[in-house]
Amino acid sequence: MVVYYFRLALKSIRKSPVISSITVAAIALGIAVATTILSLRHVMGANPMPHKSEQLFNIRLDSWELESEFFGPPGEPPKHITYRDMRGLMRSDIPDYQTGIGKAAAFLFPDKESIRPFRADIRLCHSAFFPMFEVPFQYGGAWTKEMEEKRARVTVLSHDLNQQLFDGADSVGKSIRLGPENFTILGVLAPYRPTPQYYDVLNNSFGKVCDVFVPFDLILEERLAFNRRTQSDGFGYQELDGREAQITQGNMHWIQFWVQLTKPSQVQAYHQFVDDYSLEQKKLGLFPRPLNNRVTPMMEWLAFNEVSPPALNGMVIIGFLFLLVCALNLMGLLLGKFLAGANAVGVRRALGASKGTVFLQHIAECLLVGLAGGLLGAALTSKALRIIYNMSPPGFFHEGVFRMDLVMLGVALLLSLLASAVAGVYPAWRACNIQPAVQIKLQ
Amino acid sequence: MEIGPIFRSMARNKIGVSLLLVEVGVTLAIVLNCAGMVFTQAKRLQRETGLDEGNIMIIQQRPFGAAYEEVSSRMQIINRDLSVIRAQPGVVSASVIEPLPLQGGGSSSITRPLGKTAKEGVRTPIYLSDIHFIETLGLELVAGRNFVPEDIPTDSGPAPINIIVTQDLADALFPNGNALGQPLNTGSEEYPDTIVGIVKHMFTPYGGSEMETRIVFFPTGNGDSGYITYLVRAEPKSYNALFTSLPDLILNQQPDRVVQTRTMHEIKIGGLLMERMMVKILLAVIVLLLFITGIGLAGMTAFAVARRTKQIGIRRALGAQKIDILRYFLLENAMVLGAGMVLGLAGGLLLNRLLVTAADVEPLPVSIITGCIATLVTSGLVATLLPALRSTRIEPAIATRTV
Repeated sequence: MVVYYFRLALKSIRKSPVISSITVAAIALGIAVATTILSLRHVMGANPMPHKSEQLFNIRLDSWELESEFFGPPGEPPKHITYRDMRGLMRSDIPDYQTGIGKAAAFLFPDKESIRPFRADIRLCHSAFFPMFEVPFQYGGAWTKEMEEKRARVTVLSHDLNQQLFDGADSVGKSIRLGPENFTILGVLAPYRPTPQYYDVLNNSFGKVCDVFVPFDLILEERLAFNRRTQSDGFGYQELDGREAQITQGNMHWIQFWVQLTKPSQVQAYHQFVDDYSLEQKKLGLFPRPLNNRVTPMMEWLAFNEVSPPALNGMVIIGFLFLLVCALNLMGLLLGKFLAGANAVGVRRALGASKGTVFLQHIAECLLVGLAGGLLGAALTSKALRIIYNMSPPGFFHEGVFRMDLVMLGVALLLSLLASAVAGVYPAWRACNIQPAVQIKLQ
Repeated sequence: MEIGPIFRSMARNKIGVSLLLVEVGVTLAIVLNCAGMVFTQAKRLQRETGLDEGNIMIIQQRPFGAAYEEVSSRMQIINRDLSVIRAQPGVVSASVIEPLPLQGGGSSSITRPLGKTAKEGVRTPIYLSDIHFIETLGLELVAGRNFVPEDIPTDSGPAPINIIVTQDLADALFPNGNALGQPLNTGSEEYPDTIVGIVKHMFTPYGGSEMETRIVFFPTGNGDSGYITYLVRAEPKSYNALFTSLPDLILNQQPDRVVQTRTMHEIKIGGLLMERMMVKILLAVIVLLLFITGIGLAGMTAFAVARRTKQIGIRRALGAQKIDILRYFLLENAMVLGAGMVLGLAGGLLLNRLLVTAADVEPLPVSIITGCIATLVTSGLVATLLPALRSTRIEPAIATRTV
């Protein structure tokens, strides 16, 4: 029966190819616009660590002087912390894991003749970074705490860099030259692209992961002279000699600090610890402002930094209204089409088809239009996302931001079927109420 | 006129008419708000930067040789590069600058008159450049003087420095208009800097706040960071040739570096990228929407023409001209469009109120409202015109044939 309805619907669609393709195109455009916007919102507003995000916290401290103002919304502490405070916070053994997040750059000199030296992005982090953020390894693993304390020249490579330098082979134990020194490769990441890149939304929310990961304290090494490449904000002028002193004692705020707190009791204890730390600093004559510290859960931190821009919310509303227009449009077109076919309906009714049958037959046609529109709409969405990706500057977004995932494909089809079914109800109802007697008389 | 009969025939087809009405209304509501957002962003995109953008190129270099590690030898390389560049025919001026203007963001600080608190200070973008920067950027000095070689600080410690500010910053700091020669706290109260010159205007994207035109320039002799950026302003006729020849020229002076030229225009686009993407997407939404609604109107008219073939034939047989038939359909749709506009205007303003709070959108200006209504009514009537023209081809003889 159902198969017959759909065969009938297909026949009716084939009979009027122009009107039918217009109806399909109309709903497809609506689906394309709505799902393109939804897809961007879906990716940018995604929770990149759904099973763990509630245990990850970003830490901020107000260690600013009284005399000046930092860059940021009033009432909030600065978005970064200083190296000195990072060291202070790392004395705590409350968190399961904790890591500073910094970014730097240095020249990488490949062994391969074919690749010229280039500036590599360096992720500065602590060994806990890898287990805490569940970073996947293809080969080897992370460095140890001892190595990091000894400032060993060790590194973990990104998947992409390992492809580029070693053609994807297991490079653990080999070395790369960063600036003036050789670094031993301890691990190579599997393809890894947290979206958004939650641990560093301040510098790069949607770009690629850094090429190399090195122990945080290597930034202090005079000889390596890694170039810090993060947002930063500082106050006062300090007479400090040497790189190490400038970083460890300076007032430059440039580090994002993350901890993992699994149990609610840990969260409570950590809040207390952070405030105690500030009070202790006050005794040393630092932290002159009123206590203003934040232990912010990951998703709150992403929202606070507007990782998904608020304008996108407005676009989502507009996208749905657009779909509404398309559905109304479809309704008008279907109404016209169904009423134009009144004769055939009259004959069918006269030959004994019930109202319900006629109604379902017309709804079947709507669903077919919806299915075709949904598929076409999904294809258009994927094309539109591609176009938007090509409009963005290289390196600003990674490709994954503009890819339609299965969830969004499902949403596109579902929206399309729903929109066309709803749009079809009234026209189908009108069609099944056609008076057979009148139609047959008109023949 | 046919208004009476049209109205009565509409009253008998309430659902069909209200469908169109709502469609046209929602369309206007969306178009209004998209256009409003485009307008907001376009205002930023079209802002005068104050720079001679079209004639400036950027030379970015990434040195990797040992010669660059030591500050003094790096300084030598930079000075030699710049003098070679300046000696090229067609080069108007060349400077080092940090950070790059117009790229979006950069480096900023609080500046304030002496004795004021930080809260009373003004947030300003900071640029470090050399004594040629006004000419290189193409800015206009309106008061005081340009930098002279003596303004360049000799060591990196704190010292009073002579600075140049934009008019907007001068006005923000000293509303009485006496900014020139004033000491300024740009980070330390003990070593105040002095405003020696004021340039008319410069705009650099910096997150959309007032600070974007309140800019301060510090004199510097070097590019102390890993990247060394030169700005070169060229005469228009020599621009393209210099754009390709300059990288090789300075590479010949000193190898061990990657050198790349980019146009200022490219940088500016990058700095306002989100705004540009947004405008393009919104414009696409508007065009598609007009198209969709056009199809809807054309389709409805086509069906109406088909349904009324016989009646049209009768009217023609009774003496109606082709133009009368055409007028009937246009008038019918104009009435729907008109009512839809009223509905859409109300909906659009409501949606605007919602977006003002949800998405940082500006209230709609009247010019946008009238523009949108005019566009929508015109495109709506054009869409009806095509199928309505078909109605004029219906023969009066039809009336006699199928009764």
